[in-house]
Amino acid sequence: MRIRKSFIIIITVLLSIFLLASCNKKAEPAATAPEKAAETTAETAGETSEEISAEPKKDTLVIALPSEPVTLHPSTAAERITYLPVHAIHETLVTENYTTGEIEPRLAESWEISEDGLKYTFKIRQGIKFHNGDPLTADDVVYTLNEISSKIVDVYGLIKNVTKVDENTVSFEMEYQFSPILYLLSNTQSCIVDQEYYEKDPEGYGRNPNGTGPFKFKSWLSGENIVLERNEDYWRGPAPLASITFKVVPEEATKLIALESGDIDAYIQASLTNKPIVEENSELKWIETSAGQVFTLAFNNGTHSDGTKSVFADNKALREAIVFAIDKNEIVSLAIDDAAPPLYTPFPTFIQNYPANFEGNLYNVEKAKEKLIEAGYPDGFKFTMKTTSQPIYAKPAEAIQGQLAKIGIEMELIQMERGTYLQEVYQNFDYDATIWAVSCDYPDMDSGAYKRFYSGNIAPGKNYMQINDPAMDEAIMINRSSQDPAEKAAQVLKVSEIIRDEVYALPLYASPNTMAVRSDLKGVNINYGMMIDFYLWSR
Amino acid sequence: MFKFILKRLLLMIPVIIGISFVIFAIVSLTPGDPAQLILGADADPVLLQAKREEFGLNDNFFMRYIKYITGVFRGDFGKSYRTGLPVLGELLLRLPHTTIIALGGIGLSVVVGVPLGMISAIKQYSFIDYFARTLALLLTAIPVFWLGLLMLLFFVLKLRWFPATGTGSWRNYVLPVVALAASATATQTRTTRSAMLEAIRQDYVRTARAKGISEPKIMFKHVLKNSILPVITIAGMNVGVQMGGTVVIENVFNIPGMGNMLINSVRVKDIPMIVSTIIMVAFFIGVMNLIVDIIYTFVDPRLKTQYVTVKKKKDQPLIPAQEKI
Repeated sequence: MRIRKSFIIIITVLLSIFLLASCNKKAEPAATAPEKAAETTAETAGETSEEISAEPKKDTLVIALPSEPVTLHPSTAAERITYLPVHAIHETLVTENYTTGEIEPRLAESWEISEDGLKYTFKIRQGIKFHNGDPLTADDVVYTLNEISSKIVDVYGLIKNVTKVDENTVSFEMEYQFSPILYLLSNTQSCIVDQEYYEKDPEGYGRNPNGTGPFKFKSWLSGENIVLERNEDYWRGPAPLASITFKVVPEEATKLIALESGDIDAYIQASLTNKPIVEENSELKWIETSAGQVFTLAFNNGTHSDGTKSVFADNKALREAIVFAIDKNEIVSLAIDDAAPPLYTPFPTFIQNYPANFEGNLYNVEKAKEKLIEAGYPDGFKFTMKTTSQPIYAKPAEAIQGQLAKIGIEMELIQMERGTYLQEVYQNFDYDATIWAVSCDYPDMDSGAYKRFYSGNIAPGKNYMQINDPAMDEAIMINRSSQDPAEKAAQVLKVSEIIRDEVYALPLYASPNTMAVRSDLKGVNINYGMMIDFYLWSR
Repeated sequence: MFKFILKRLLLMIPVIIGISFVIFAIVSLTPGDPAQLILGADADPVLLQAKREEFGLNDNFFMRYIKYITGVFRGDFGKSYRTGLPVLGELLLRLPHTTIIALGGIGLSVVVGVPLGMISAIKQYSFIDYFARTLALLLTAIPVFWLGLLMLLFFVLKLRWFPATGTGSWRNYVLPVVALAASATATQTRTTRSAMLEAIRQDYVRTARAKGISEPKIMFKHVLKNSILPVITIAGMNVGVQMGGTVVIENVFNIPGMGNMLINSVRVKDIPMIVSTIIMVAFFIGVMNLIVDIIYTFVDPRLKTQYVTVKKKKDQPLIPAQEKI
């Protein structure tokens, strides 16, 4: 009797567990293999495909991001993917036309620059409202530039005395002439926020933003998606897209399948290896911009954190030996499947006054061998390179390793996890050589050069190559303050020449920014800095 | 019985302290700065320092751990480094997805694996036995990740039966559950088969047959009941395997569960998030093991006596021994 009773209990417990578990799957838990499981759902699945095709005309967009944005706060947004939703919600005083690269008015109707180039006065457009109905005022602009953007110390430190001239005029002064300032004012960090709204809950702003842009924030489901909907009262007229859903999909293979099945409409940072698949499919389109990030073989030209000198510091011949032994054409084909040509200047081609036809150091094995003897290593030489284990860095590093071996240079490759890498290489300078990619925030040489090559910036996270060259400093500073294109062009050329002749680093290639989209999307755009203007998108 | 459950639950406290300490130590003491990973490679040193201060990273490791673990026992799992939101809220938001997939996987593996193993044992060397064994071999050998991608290609892209991403309806969970159940089904089938085969060869089965008891009755009453223990054990052990599997599966099928979050957190060394997720998983596995142990006592009354001996020994020390006879 007892046995029977307990047996009944087990059965009920087991059954209830199975029931609990299986009710999430389907009514009949009879499936054995994947095929069977799918069979039982065949009828219901028919409805889904009908649902999709029956819809008359889609005006929504689902775009996949590789990871979840941390915040929608304009100035604490550190990752590039965050810029996309932030820039769809907010607007800046001026904006950069993503096709021409020109600065155009946006929230500012017009602006004036004083004779000496130090004082900027902006006329704010009238009648613009934030998503919550608050009007945009000069106070909001002053507050944003003073309190919010200034937290990004690096650049906004140059801006002082932001003042409200009258109800719709704002002016500020510059520490010194800085020509790319308008580009900075078009950046995500300069997005104008509503002072009254922001001050109510500064901490929560990143999860509930309020801007003037063509799309307003609707919802954020952690780990899943961020939904924006059309701002019907947008001052330039409502956008063609009714809503944008930013979906977090980390897996490249999943993204491609989701795109092919119409589950998502677009995804950024598409892997170059998938380019042929996307291009073969008539339902999909491959979008590629010129050069987003510049990949560089960087030498440590200074000392390590313990005071010992890098092998490459003060040994130009040794750096030259390595540079001449590297065949960039082969690197490009091995690392990025010839998606971009080899690069000879340290800048991507989209920067203003780019020196076309610049002649860089070319592959020359004989010269490399000579330089190796000159450097004091006639019998070969051994050094270590540190990179992160991400394939975009590891692939070119492995290609270089193979090429150097041919002339007797043994390169030990240490691949590390990103956090460790940033700490050792970027913060502590404990490396001899590395491969790192740098992206440009604005189309001026300054974006790449000031932080990386200026001697005053030899500090953690900045000039990690420890380039200390007075001629370089001079060229960078002249370019910073000059408004004259010819003078600026001369400086770009000069910096490129210094990098080439002193061999502080070897630019390899600039990898393109990529995006895969459904081909019914129109007005699709992405710029060199991975910025997208969703207002132009339609379907 | 109640006392036993309480004791087991209390025992989980030192286990959780131990696990959390090890994980906390691993993520804290390995190189890599969470502040840097969150603010990006080019972050300003002033901002970095402020961030480190905010996270309390400048404190001593033991101080940080003690602060964290005392918080945990007060129900405060800290704030995520990455999002700045309370960890517990985030975890509870993600827990349902993972629970559905993990329990679904275990459920499916038992529902499919046990009957398949039974038939396989009863009809040994028949076609169905070979089929079941080959299937089990295949399912154990195929990596979950690859199986998931194949299923995506076939059922999502070719047949369009299921959506590729998202969590909106039950349809989103079918493929992940099936993919996750695959290897567990295989172990379940094999264990059931071998346990049944062993029981079938016992003397009492021969006796039962000699007495003329019908074959189904022998199988269900004598054989299955005597061989169910290892089957339950495997189901219990699979809980841990399934929880690990969800990390991979959630990424392939883009389910915003705990595994998915764990990967994102590890990328930026979000210490409170990582440790709390692991604690949650450990707790989940602990509870499931407890449930398995309780089920044992119903299946095999001999085991029940072990749990209640402490009390009974004092009163009637001989009774358990008698029961065994």
